[in-house]
Amino acid sequence: MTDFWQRLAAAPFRELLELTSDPDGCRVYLSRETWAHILDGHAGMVVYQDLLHLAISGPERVEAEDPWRSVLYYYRRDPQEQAKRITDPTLKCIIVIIRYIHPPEWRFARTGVIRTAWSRRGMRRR
Amino acid sequence: MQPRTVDDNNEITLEYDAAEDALHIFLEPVVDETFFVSLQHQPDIFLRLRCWGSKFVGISRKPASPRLGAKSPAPDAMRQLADELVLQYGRMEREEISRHQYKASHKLDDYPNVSWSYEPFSESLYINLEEDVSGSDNVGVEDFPNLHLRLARDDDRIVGMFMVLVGSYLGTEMPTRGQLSALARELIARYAPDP
Repeated sequence: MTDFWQRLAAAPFRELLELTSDPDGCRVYLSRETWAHILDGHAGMVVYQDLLHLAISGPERVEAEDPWRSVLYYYRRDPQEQAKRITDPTLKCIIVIIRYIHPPEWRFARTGVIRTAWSRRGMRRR
Repeated sequence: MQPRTVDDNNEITLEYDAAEDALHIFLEPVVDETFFVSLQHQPDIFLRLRCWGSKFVGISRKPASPRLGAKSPAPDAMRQLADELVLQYGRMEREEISRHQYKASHKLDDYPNVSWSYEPFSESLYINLEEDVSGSDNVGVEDFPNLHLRLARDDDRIVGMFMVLVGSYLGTEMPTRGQLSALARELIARYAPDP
């Protein structure tokens, strides 16, 4: 994963880089611009780079914003906190929102673009 | 009323959306998903960017009727307004657009210590009740989807809040400054009435 973050740091501001694939096999992308937005609003996310990847590729929960599943929420608890406090309902988790689009560059294939992400106490529904 | 195309000249297409009272100018054919960025000092002007790579592909004005003079505007009036907007904004560089896209901070008249900002790609409304909200934890709110309170780590006081996917809640892809500030007031009154 370190490799991705190194490439992102060196990439043009708006270039979308493939971070991972979601459980359905759709490629998910992140730009340095969006990562800057995420850190601007949620500075604590800087320590959750690996968890961001895990939340998308192996989420503990996925929720749809709309019937077309064009916007999905991905949840994943912090495994380090989880090990320490297994039953704590306020265990910190991260939430990632992905918008699914159909760019002609990818022959209109369903493609995920990270919109935002943040951490919070507890993983109950939004 | 369905949007209608009234002009197709030099690949610029106009469309009036009566439901939004918005005039949309497409600088090129739009074939996939887009989002809108409002201009910081001209909040009724929105730039349309592609979700894939943020390419600048259109200009919109909302509300359009104050300039077009009617709820069912004449094609000539739309063309004239479109010419003005394309001349003024059509060649904006991406760096300049980024400055508008990045969160600009706004004040609320009735809450002088509170500031709010909006980030259009994630449709996130940030409300800061204190100047520094960095030392806080986020918690979800049961009765208001997509809203999160920021609690100070030392005493759990509410120092701010943020709401994602605001456009879905407001029912528009182009929330106006007035709609966003009204929502900020509503959330403050409900969750932090004495900021």
